Amino acid sequence: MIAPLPASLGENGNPEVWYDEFMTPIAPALPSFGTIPSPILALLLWAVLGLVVLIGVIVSLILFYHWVRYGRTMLMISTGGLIYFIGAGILLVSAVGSLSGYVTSLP
Amino acid sequence: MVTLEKNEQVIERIQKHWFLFAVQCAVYGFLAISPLLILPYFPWESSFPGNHLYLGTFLWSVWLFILWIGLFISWTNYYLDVLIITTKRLIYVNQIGPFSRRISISRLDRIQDATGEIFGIIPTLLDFGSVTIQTAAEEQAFVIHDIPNPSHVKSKILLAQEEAKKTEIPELS
Repeated sequence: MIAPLPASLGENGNPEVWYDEFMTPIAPALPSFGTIPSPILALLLWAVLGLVVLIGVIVSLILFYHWVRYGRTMLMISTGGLIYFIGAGILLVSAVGSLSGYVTSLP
Repeated sequence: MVTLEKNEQVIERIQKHWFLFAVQCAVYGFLAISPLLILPYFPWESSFPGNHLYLGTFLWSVWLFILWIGLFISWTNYYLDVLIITTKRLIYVNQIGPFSRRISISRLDRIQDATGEIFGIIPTLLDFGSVTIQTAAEEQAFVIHDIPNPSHVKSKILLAQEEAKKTEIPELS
């Protein structure tokens, strides 16, 4: 059965009002990080990045080992490796840059 | 990769079909853009202090970095998975993951039967499927999935086996 339209939609004819009135109370409760002190939040985010980079370095070394040991053609290994390391480098620079910007903007 | 025996030559190296890697690439592509569809609806103001554009860029970059590593793990698994038919043996290298690798070797004279199978719409259109190789009774049959042109591969194996038998008989006599 289709639920009847709320009265507010009929009254002012604005679907956005209907959305705000009826969807906001049922929206899932999201965590608020605003209460965490800025230095701790910054430290937490740097720690997340550090962990991701550490895992990335370990996995990259393993991949590199596989390519060199079991790879068949040098062209394939060097091309694949070059694309991989350039891409990873760009993403890391982007992550470090944006995190630095964010930490600076913290109140 | 695999050390060849004396007088052993590689007849053919067969890699898995490209379609599987293409599907994985498409999944990674979708996952890469999915934050762009979700993040605009995230209530940044109430959840995080500071400049949200920087934070969004940081989170997306970390997400892309993780996916980038995942994509290259998939590529490595695809690239290092190979079936090698030699004049004496059949070697199947199965790269399961970064820490997992299986090598199955069967001598051609131990092979009893080879079957090629294509199942499904896309495999039929793109001509890829599995090859089952039945070896001597005590040994397990090994199945190689997603091989391009399985009927051709099956014929190659059986032909190599015939050739191996021909060359072994004069050696014995």
